[in-house]
Amino acid sequence: VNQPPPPSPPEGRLPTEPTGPSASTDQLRRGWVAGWSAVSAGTGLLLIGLWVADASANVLGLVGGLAALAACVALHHVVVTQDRGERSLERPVDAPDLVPLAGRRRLLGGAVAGVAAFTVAGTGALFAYGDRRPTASAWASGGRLTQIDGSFLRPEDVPFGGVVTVWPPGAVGTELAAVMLIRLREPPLPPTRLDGTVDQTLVAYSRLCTHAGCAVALYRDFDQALFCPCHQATFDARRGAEPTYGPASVALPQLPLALDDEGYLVATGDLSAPPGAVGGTL
Amino acid sequence: VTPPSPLADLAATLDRRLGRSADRPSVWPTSFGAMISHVIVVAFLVLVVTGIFLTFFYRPSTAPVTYSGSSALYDGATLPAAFASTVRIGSDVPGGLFVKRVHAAASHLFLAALVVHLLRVMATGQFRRPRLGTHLLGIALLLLGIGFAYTGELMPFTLKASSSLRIGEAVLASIPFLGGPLASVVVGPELPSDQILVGAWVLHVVVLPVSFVALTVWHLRLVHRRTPTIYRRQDVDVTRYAVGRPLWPDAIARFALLTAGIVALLSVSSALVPWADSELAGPFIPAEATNSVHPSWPLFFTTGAMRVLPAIDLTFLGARITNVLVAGVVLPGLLIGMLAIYPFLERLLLRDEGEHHTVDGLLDVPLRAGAVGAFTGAGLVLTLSAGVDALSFWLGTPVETVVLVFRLALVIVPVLAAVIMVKAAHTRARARAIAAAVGSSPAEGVR
Repeated sequence: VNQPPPPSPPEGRLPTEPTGPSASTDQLRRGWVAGWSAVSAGTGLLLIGLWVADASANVLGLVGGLAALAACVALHHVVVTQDRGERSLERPVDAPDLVPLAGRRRLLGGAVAGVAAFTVAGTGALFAYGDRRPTASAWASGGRLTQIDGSFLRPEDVPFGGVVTVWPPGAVGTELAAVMLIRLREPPLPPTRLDGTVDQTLVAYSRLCTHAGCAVALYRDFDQALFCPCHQATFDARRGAEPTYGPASVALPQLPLALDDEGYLVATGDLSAPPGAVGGTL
Repeated sequence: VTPPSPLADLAATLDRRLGRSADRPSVWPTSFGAMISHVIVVAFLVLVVTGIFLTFFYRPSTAPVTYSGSSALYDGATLPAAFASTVRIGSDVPGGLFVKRVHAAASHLFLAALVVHLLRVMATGQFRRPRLGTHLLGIALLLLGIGFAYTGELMPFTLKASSSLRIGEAVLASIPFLGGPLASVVVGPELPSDQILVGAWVLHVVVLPVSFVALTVWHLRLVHRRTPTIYRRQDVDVTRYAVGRPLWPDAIARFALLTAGIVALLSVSSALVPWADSELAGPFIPAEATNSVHPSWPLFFTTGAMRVLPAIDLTFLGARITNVLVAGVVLPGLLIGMLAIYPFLERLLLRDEGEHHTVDGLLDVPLRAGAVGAFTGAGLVLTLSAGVDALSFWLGTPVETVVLVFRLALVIVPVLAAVIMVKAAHTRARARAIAAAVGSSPAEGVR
């Protein structure tokens, strides 16, 4: 635009204002404000009464909404009648750009030093605290596979295509030790540890996804795949629970199985790897 | 004429607190665009009032308790104390369900207004000199808002919430070297732990609200010290003058109207939409999982990235870089970092160190139009990626196909959006040049 900028008004009210209505309509609107305020207050009282009387949430919501709507109408008329109009204000010259600290060197230096000290101290404290999350699960050799109700399992309890979540006897219901016992429809293939299977078709894998630690809760019978509902990581239960699709990069840890003297399923050791998400430090 | 009132005195005091004196009172923009930021404040006030009510009845504990009350679904069941207390709020406390629903509805409005306000600031160039500090504070406020959403979602200790907690733990632990200790401190040794629940409760109820109020006051103070931005207009030299309404009575009356309107909206919506009926989500049970595990929607882009990015497993100097690290730490860091870095970048690339006080049009600066297009495109695709499982269910398509489409979209959509926006900006500039050359009125040529 090649034209010179229009003249600016002095500070104070702009010449286009005020936009308010005439005195007669003003009087009418004052009546509206009083009336709708009364409606709002009355509905508000009704809301309190209904609240005390333990009315349902839907009734409270509608009555509360009505009270607020009446207040809206009243306030709309306040806005229309009570305007003082636009005003202009001269902008400050050379206002600091970043934060008020920028102009004050000592304060800025102090803030930077404080943040640095806090970061160093925090990192040091974290390293001193260390990683306290358990890496081994509660599984040990001879531990019977225990269901959530405390009962033990025999091989014949799991039909073909069946999945049961089991825990070691002392840690039923815990997160890290949760294991899925699966009866495959076909015998598993390497890299499944075949000496850890029972009946040729019973295998057990950790229930925690190696991607982000969710429970791999879904078993797809038609391709014998374990499927994580969180991020769609898919594992081949027939081939050592190696990832076949999705964001996981590592197989689910396998639990080696055997039968004890009484014919119950037991573990012969801990999981083949620490359960849960991999990543971070090696 | 407004009669003197205690409210007027209060407004004058507030004016002084904002760093303005009686002879130079603050001016408040009352355009619809500027109202978005007021929606944040109003929604926050609603959240504080309803939140105080809910705090009285909430118990941050995972200890099993036997619930007995008027919820037919859970009467006599043994539940984690946190979940039992939310069931009690929903079923036994008078008005509890109403307050809980309004709290949840207000949280959605709060977060939506935060995101829209930030996008508007980016698209209209309000981050430029002298308002960079105000903008950076705004990003900090967005992060606090996301913190509110994440901790608030954990607190009822539903199955879904605890699954997203598990993913949060994996994200923390995926950070090389620091991750393990960090996850131990934040989450505790093994889920379910009281540590995380008490932590989330203290953050949600004390730390985050106090920080949010403090930073908001600072943000508002900076806005008024530097005077608000305004749309370009013919009757005012906007580089020298800010234009707006006085705080009393114009702006206060408008804020009161906005507050009443939002309260009406939230209140009626609580009767029509079952916000936050966490009874239906079920309590946390270790080693259980549910379909469609999501964090709160402002964090959809992280879970979306975890779903569409491929498996990654690289070893580098003793660090193990995985999909979770890239999708949960690096990518969000880059996206939110872009919001902070872009103002510096624009200054550098456009060689523009001057002060700007206008609310620009979306297409006024081609570089910015392109950047906003690419950013919004990437954010939108990643956000929608969080629903690949739901989409695959609705469309009857294998999830692998849906993920493939989203992988392609993640590359194509941001580039396409940037190209279209830059082209449109150049076309707009040419049209303006032609209009100026043929001497049409500036009112048509310049908005």
